[in-house]
Amino acid sequence: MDATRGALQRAIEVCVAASGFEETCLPFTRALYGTAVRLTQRPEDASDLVQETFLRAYRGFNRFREGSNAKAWLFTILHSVFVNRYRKARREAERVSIDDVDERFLAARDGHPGLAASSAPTAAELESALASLPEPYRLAVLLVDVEGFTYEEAADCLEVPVGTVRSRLSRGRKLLFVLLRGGAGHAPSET
Amino acid sequence: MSDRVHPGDDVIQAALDGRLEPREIAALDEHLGACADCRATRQALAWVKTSLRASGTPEAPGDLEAAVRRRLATVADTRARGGRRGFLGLAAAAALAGIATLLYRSRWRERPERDLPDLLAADFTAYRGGALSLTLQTGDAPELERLFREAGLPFPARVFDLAMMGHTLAGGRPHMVAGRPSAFFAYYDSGGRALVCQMFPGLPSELPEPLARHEENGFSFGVHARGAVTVVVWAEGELLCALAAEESRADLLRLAVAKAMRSI
Repeated sequence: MDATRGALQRAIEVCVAASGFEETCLPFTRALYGTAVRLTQRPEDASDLVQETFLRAYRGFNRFREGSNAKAWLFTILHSVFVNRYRKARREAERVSIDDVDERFLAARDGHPGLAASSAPTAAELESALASLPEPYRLAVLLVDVEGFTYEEAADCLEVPVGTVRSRLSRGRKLLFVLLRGGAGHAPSET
Repeated sequence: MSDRVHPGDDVIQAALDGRLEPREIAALDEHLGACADCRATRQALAWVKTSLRASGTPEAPGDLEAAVRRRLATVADTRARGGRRGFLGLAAAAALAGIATLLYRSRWRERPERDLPDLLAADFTAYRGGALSLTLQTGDAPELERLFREAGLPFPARVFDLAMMGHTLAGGRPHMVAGRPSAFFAYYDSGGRALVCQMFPGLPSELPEPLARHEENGFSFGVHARGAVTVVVWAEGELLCALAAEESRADLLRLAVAKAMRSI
């Protein structure tokens, strides 16, 4: 009877996982992929990263508490998989320097007084600038500005203090401004 | 906040991100009104934030979600193989039904307001409303039966083609009903109306008194109504089978009889 009870329990676990996981997690496929492709810069790596994220989430779904933030939980796993598998394996592309970012930001800011809505960057400009951003800063702006996480949620995802998120976000935004409007060699000229 | 002492960029950033108290916002606004440098900083940072927010998310490949589902099915299959090893034929299946009944009854005592027809009707409503999705969308009954086997359902789930009765198979999902595994599969009729069938371990004695009962070829069909949803339940061996739909009781009973006859 114990063997049967154990088998029933495993069958129940399989069905519980299958019945709740997809509704809870799969709606975030696009958001996960969007961040993954901006991290890996390669669509095929991004797809693999998202699939691996879902597999790990599925295996740990019994530890996920119903009603908690599934999106933040999935992004935490995505970041962990990325750090452990992809960041080490891929060749780091050339990134812009973060040195003197405050001074460069001020110079770019003063060169563009009165930015109007019409001066919004094109999608290609923005993707290019994001790709040039050093990874810690890119992650911070992606999580907070694109995905809408709070500093606290982003800090949990990245496993860093909230103050680190705040600092990376500040530098990331300033550097993006420099890249997009500062003529740092990566940003296209303003039209 | 004086216009002579600039707030740090971190304060401007906190304001952009909605992390300042009203008193702090008022002080910052007062300073910004008199300080062009800080206004320019706020404008530049806001421009970046707005541009990022407006950039949206790159489109995922169309086949990514299907690839994820395939890999999840592989994991489920691996788990299920572990689960199936513990089953020892019919005796185990009978014990399973007994355990499931005990589990159900213990839950029922905790939540007396939800009986089996309640749960089956709620599942139908959730499926029809899009809250329950199908793991596999297919019109191929053997393919769906294979899904249930691979998901580790501890009983053979036979999926019937009801095309002769005007219903097309839409697909199915491994599911849970009343704390036990269930084969959940759905059909639709020519008008697109949904019909849900579930099969799960259970006993007729678990069911409340039906509105109507119909006996045919040794089967006893109980007809239950939950709001606009009709649920017909009958026993096939150690399993309970149920059809749920917003159809007339007579029509749903005819479908239930047709399905039960094919199991003989």
